[in-house]
Amino acid sequence: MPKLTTILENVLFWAGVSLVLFIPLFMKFPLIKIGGSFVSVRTEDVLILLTYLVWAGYLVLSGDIKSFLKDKLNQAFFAFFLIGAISAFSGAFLTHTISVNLGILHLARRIEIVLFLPFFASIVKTNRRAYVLLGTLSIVIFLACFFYFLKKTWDTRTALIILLLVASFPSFYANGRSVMGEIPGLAFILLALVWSFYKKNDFIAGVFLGLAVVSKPSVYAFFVPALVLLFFLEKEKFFRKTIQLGLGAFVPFLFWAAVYPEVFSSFSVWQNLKSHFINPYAAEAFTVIGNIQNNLASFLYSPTLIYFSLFAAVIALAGFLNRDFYKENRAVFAVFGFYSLFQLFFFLKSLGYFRYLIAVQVFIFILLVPSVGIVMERLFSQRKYADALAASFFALIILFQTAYLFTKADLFYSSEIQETFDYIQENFSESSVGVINLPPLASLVLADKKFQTISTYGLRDLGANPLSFEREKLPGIIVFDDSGFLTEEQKIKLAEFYGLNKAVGGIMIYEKR
Amino acid sequence: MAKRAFKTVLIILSFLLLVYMFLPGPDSITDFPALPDSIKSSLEGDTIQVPNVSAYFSNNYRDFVIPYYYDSYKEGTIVPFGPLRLNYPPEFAFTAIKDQTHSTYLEEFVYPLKDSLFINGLEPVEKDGTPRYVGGGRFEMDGRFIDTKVTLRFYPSTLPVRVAVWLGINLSVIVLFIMSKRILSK
Repeated sequence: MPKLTTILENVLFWAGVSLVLFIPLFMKFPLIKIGGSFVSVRTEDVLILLTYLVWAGYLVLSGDIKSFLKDKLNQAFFAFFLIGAISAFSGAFLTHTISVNLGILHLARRIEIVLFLPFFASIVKTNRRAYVLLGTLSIVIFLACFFYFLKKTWDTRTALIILLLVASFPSFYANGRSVMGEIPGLAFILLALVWSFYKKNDFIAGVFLGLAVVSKPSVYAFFVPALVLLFFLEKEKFFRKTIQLGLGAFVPFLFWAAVYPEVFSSFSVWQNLKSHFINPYAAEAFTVIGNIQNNLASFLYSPTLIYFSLFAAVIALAGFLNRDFYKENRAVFAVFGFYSLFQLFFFLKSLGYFRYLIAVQVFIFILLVPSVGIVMERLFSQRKYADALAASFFALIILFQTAYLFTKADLFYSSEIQETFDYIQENFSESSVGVINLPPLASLVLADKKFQTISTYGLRDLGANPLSFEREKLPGIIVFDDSGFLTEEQKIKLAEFYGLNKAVGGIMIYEKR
Repeated sequence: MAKRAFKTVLIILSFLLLVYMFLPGPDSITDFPALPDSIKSSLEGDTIQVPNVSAYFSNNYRDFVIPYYYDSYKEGTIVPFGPLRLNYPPEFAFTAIKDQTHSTYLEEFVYPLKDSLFINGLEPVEKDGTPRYVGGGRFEMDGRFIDTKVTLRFYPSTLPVRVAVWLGINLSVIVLFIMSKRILSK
């Protein structure tokens, strides 16, 4: 029986992931029409029903049914369902305001939605499963917002091709899986552009812009000057639009200040933010000019940069060949152009982190599809040849990206980081943590408990190595996955003051004696 | 003491609700009188095809029809107050009366948790004979010109259904009472 419950647990988890994927992307997909009404039983209703049936079986077999029924929050849900059922019965048989089948369907919809909360609470047994669900949800929400923006900007066919280009793009998953702000921020940016370009409400656009900047300042802050420059170019109601945008962006900022007053009032936070945009590596003696020189020198050796530069050239060529294309989409071109210039400069003066360019890459895809169509039309006078060639080109790119995603992209699939973090949370929640060259783990540890060093791109020991501290200042635990980054002196210190507590795969956790 | 008084008040209210729901009223559309000086419609859909529907051609306008049926509904039940009066957009007549029902006004008289009467009026011409909309004209019935058509639809409920709803309401109150007590006691 325990084996069966384990199988059911796994089945339910993947059913939950499928629901997270399916419902937002294929929302309201009609399956069985209810006669005499505009209502249909949807595909998602059937999927949810099947999932809940398995869930009910699991609750009974695992013995969790008692605690499930005794839970006070669940009891509140049952009360809600009971009152809904009485209301539906009354509507169907007493006031005759609804038909019986519609009443049952509407009640079932409320039940299926509300039960999501106890369902997901019941199937998420480990932090890793929570990460997978949140990562999936983040990517799905982005794709839904992305398609919304594309449908507003281009026709459905173009929108679908762009969606496929982005969905097969490896960096999208590399950023999306970690749920660190890039993908949610990009969704907010797209919503900001929809509200600014198409709904003509710059205040709401500002709110989304503010949310994007708060999500990942280093990637999305430059959309603020890009949009202001667009307003300046449009020459119409510049001050009004700018003020509305600014006021809107101020809302998330105020919210942030209210939630984290101590961070908001900390001078060092603002100092760090300033240095991040001027030169975050000044302490390690890296100059902006030096970084730009290094990045420019490595430009020709970076397949990613060459790949996107070629696409950018196609877009520029299309804008040149067809002035109407440029004029009709001037807002998209202007925001994308200004933002790309700012962000490219920010990328060049960094240590070459490609994640700074994620929005630039996505915008290149957005403009690439119609641009290729225009260039092909110029090359071939017959429309059918131009269309066939453009379609072949995109099919090739999508195939290439998909193949690359599953073979050479080298996305990090290990669960060691999550497991290590869970172990630290469980056993050393009060301890300070020294992290040696494990940035993904360091990003999960709270800043006030963390000392970390990073070695990257041929550069060693960015930050302070926790093993270089004096004895009394040494952190409670040291975590690393490659002792090659330790000097002989640090290895001696490690052996003298620390003992191995646990090894999670290749990651070592040393505890202070 | 306060708790006991609260419970007593709830029980009394529940009993009064049950009495209200038990009080007899009209059973079907035939319990409502025809409009004065009217011709009962024998058109398809106004007789037996849809349950509890009847229609009358007459020269009675809304200002007469509404008070007339309000009084007759009130007199048909021994509840000591009149029904609630609700006004709807005419297009709702397709749902509330029957499909393809033409309408210029639609009202409902309702005794909550008991039954209700929909009154749909079609007034193609004003009282002075001017059309109210393009193509609006009088009805011709048996060689006589008539100004308006009023269609009634009655929605009754059976006693077992009322009792079931009453039980459901009591159950909901008890459940909410227990849950509120749990929350407030913390």
